[in-house]
Amino acid sequence: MQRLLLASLSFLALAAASPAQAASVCVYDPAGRTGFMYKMAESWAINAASWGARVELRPYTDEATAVNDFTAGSCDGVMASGVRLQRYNPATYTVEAVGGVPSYDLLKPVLSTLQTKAAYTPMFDAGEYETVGIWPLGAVYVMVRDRSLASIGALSGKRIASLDYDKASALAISRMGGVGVSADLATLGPAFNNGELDVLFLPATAYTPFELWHGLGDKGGIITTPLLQVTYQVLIHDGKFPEGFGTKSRTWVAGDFDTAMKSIKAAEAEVPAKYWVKPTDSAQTELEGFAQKLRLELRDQSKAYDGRVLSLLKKARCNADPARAECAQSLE
Amino acid sequence: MRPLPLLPALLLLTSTGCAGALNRAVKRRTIPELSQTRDLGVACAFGEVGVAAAATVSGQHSQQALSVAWTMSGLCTEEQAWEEELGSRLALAHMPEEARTPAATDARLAAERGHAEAARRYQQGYQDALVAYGGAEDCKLRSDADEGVYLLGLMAGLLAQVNDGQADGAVGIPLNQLVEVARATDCLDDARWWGIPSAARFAAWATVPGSGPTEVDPWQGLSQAAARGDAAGQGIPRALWLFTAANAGNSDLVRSILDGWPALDPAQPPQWPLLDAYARHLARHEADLLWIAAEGHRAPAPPAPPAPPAARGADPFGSTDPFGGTEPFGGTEPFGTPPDPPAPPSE
Repeated sequence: MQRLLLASLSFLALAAASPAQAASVCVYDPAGRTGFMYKMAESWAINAASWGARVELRPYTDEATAVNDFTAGSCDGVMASGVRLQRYNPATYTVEAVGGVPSYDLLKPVLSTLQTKAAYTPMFDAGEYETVGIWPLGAVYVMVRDRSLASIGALSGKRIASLDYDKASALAISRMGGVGVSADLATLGPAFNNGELDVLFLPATAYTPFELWHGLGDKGGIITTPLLQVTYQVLIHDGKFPEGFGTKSRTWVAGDFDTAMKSIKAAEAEVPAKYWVKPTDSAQTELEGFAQKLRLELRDQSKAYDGRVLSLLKKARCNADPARAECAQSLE
Repeated sequence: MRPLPLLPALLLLTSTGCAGALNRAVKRRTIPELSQTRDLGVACAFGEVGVAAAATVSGQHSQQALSVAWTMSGLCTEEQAWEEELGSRLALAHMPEEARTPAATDARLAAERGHAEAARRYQQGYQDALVAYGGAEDCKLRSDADEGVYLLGLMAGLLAQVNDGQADGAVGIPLNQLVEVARATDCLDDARWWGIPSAARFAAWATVPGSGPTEVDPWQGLSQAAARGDAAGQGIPRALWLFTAANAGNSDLVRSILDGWPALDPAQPPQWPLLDAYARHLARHEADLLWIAAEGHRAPAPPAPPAPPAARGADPFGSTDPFGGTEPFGGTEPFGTPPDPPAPPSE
């Protein structure tokens, strides 16, 4: 059958005839090639050319598939959330610790310092892998269908979405006394909107794409205090990139912080002011104490968090606000 | 094709200031003519001139005309953005090492500007269509011509979000617009419009997690919509399938969709060649991206691309050397020994 030019391209041939070997990177973005995470990856890949690497990006809209393909050796690198990559590098995942970084103002120097000071280089080394960049992806907030639930103590018995690969959220739900409901990205928006879930832990970037106003309605709310900071990390196979690539990449990614924040802040600005609920002083204290207990349990029992990084984050919090109750303690 | 009756109509109507007449002229005369062209450059020019002309008519009442004009004008800047996008890839492939990053970055930034402008124009086309006809709850469509304008407006809504994504969100198109457009496609009859409404719906559901009914497989829906479009000679459903697959990184599916693209059939020209031409243009861009990644240059022109080494067939000589392994010309040099190349001038 006669074919159109485009149609008759034999792409299997193309794959075999690549003019130069490029390092492939599986890039997760739920919005695919047109999402803001993928755009960050494109910019990173262009700059990687000046660090001696030719990078070919492969978009993925499913995070588990992206990471599985990396694990299987289909890609030389992967870009995904820190929580999804925790099994490769618990130290960089710990930047996402519950209550670890309470504000974007603090997150910027934390990520910049960790990624640019030689003293912290070892935390990026993960055996045969290396984490070569951490961007912010937005604070995770507690979203509730009923704003009277806008405190930790009120969440007991409530149905809360739980991601099966996230130990921290599962433990948080358990310690809140909530009822974990297994969910994924495709189900949690509709489940919240139709009332099958009472509570979501999500970044505000999900508000518009998932049309969460249907679930928040007239009574819902979003607690302004971040539960944690989710990050976007680049993990590479050792030996697939030039010597010294990691240091150059991390330095560049640290300087790209504001690019990511532009999209995050734009998404947060789309949430109507009426939904933001500032916790009372007592609710805030309760939230901070809850987060601290959770961090310690995830460090000591679950072994999910890296104690050295928790210690650094505590120093950062206390440098920024010495009046915090935890600063008089030596638990982290 | 006859010259488009656009400018005389617009000039006449702008001089009389009659927005209702302008809307009618665009629906009854311009769209039937414009939809017959395969020349996207003409459509782009129509859009840019049309926006300027129609805007001089009391804008509040000429949304139908403006919607079409803005949508067509988006083609101009989108094309520029695509070219810059290819330029960025080519710079990475061919520039000297020290120039790769700045050259590719420059082209990428230029592409983002083009995509941002395209997003603004498409968004205006979409918004004007909504003002004229309403969203999914309204469907104020009274004629076939109204449906045509609305279809273009919804396509513009999709393209606005896509282009804004490629512009790194510079315009701020709401991230639920794909889903909003998907709902509005219910206003259109899928068979009448060659599978385009359902393809747009399935594309949105495949792209935004959880946005469609759980019992529906949007990828299967896209495939079926493409078949419906193919049968009518209309490539837009297949183009939506292609773009959705490329966006999701499903490269095997992208190849399969491109491979299955039907040739133009002179015996059965599509009813809206303009849209089919756009679909093929988008497909060519996707093919260019693949070719640059693999071969360092754009997809070649017809009739056929190079076949893969493994697919070039068996040795037609039966793997025997008809020349007996010796130099076929007997080892003599009929032209003598070539002279040495000239030496560079001494300093």
